[in-house]
Amino acid sequence: MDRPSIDEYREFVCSRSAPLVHLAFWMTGNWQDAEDIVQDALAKTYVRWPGTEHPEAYVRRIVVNGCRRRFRLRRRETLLAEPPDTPAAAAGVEEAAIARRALVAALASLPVRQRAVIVLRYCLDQPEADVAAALGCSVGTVKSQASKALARLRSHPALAPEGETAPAGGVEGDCQ
Amino acid sequence: MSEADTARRIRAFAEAAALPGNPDVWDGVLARLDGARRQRARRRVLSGGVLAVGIAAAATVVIVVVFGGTQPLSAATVAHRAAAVLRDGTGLPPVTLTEVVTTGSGYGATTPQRVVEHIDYAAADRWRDTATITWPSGRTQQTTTIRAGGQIATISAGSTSISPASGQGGSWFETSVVGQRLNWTAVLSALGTGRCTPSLHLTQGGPLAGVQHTLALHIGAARCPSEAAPETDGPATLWLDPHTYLVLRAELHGPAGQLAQTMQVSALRYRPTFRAGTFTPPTPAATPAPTQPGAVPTLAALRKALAYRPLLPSRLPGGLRVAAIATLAGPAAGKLTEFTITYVNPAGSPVAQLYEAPVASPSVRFSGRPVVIRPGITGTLSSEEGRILWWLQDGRYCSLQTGGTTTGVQLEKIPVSELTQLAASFS
Repeated sequence: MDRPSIDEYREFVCSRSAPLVHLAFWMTGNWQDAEDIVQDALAKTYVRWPGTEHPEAYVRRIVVNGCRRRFRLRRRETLLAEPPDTPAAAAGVEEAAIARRALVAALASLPVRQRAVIVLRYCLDQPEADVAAALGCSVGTVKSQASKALARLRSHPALAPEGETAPAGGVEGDCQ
Repeated sequence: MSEADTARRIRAFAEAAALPGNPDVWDGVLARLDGARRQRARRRVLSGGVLAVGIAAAATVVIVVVFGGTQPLSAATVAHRAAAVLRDGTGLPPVTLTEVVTTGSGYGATTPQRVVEHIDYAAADRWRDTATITWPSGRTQQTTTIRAGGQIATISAGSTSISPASGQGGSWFETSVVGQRLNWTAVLSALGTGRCTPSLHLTQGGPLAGVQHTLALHIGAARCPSEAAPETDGPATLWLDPHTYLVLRAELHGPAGQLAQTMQVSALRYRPTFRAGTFTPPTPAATPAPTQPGAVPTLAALRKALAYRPLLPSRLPGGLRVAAIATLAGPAAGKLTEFTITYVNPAGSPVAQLYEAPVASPSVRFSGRPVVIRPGITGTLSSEEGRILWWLQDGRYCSLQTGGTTTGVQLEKIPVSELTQLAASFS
């Protein structure tokens, strides 16, 4: 596979960057780190392009690994109640901030591997096979990790239903 | 809540979080492309089997050559050995070297921009240091210091002064202009233990001054702000001779990462043959009969009586004025080398006393906390009620005392800030 022209590559970056940054954000809880990790991953992908069958899967895997590395380096960091550099939504700022805060806190309670499974599977709505490809494991492992993670999150206070209601925005809707 | 419910809630929270749909990462990606290419190129090179074998062999050779086949030393050990060499020449064989020190801007007129120093070192108590100093104004000055056994001779501007060598002032490095100007003490004191210990990292350096394989000691930025030398609180790298731990090159950075000071050895020869008389101080010129220690009526008379140009405050804070001037024992070249000036407040009460002597004098170095007097000059404030501030400046040992009794004078106290102001105006 030939390396794409810079215009093709730009199109790839622009069309794929949002879910990648979201993936990294939910993994790290920090928007700045998320953009940093994704930019690194995309640059590496371009360099490796000619030998890459599925660049999107490849870049997702680099992002997950980048998040793991970042997590290892910063594991002593304390997660703030309000992440200082999370983006503000144009409307419903308060509600969005509450939801972000709650989900970041809940995800932070998971081991990195389980967190990656939950983010890919439920926040980004990826099929189990793609999750497995991104994590370099089997579909069975994805299922078992997802099950363990959900069991842990079930009792997490940040996700505890207030009057048994989820945040506005639809219970059945996709993440993005 | 079942697993399915939990999954639904996660989806709902993620959607409600409303993360931006079009983060702009393109510029960042573009900026990283070159770095990623280089990184990949490096990996490709490193993955070459032949090169890997070559590198392994080279590394083995370096370890055998540098460390004599013993286990490689840790960065901390190397740092401490380098500090010992600078402190008192521990393990340093006879050597002759020329080094150039440059100082970045921002130090003011009191710090030379460039110093070229030639050192002949035979032993801890036999060395000669000739420094050519270029001041920010462009003026140059040459000073030669010779340590010959228990004496130190300072030759500057045609005059020679000889004083006993003892204590800190007798060390070749502390006495050298480089030692006094390069803020090494800040770098080395940072190598202590505890939470302020900076990160240390040792790598192999390139050839320098004829030494094939040097050690590059990378010292991280100061973890605790340094009062002693805030100009060099950033990271530093020292290149060392792996056999003698002599520093051959140094780069000290400021807290903002700017290059603050550099030193580079331009010529180095171990075990040289020194010319006869290298360590023999010149005979002081015949001078009039020695001035007797005692009271001196004016500052002009003091200057005349001393073997060197005294450093005096250019302005007196808080309405202070000179009350008494006295020279002390310590004839050198027929003249005196130590003096005191007592200052009184507007009410006429003695509040501070200055004591000054050549840097190599056996004056007491009180322990205490470092105080920045002005950029490039750091003093020590004695821990006993903070009454004595001493520092080294232009080859002098200066101390200011407030409170307590000294040379029979009872001093009232003035604030430490006024003491520091007084010290800062010395020229």
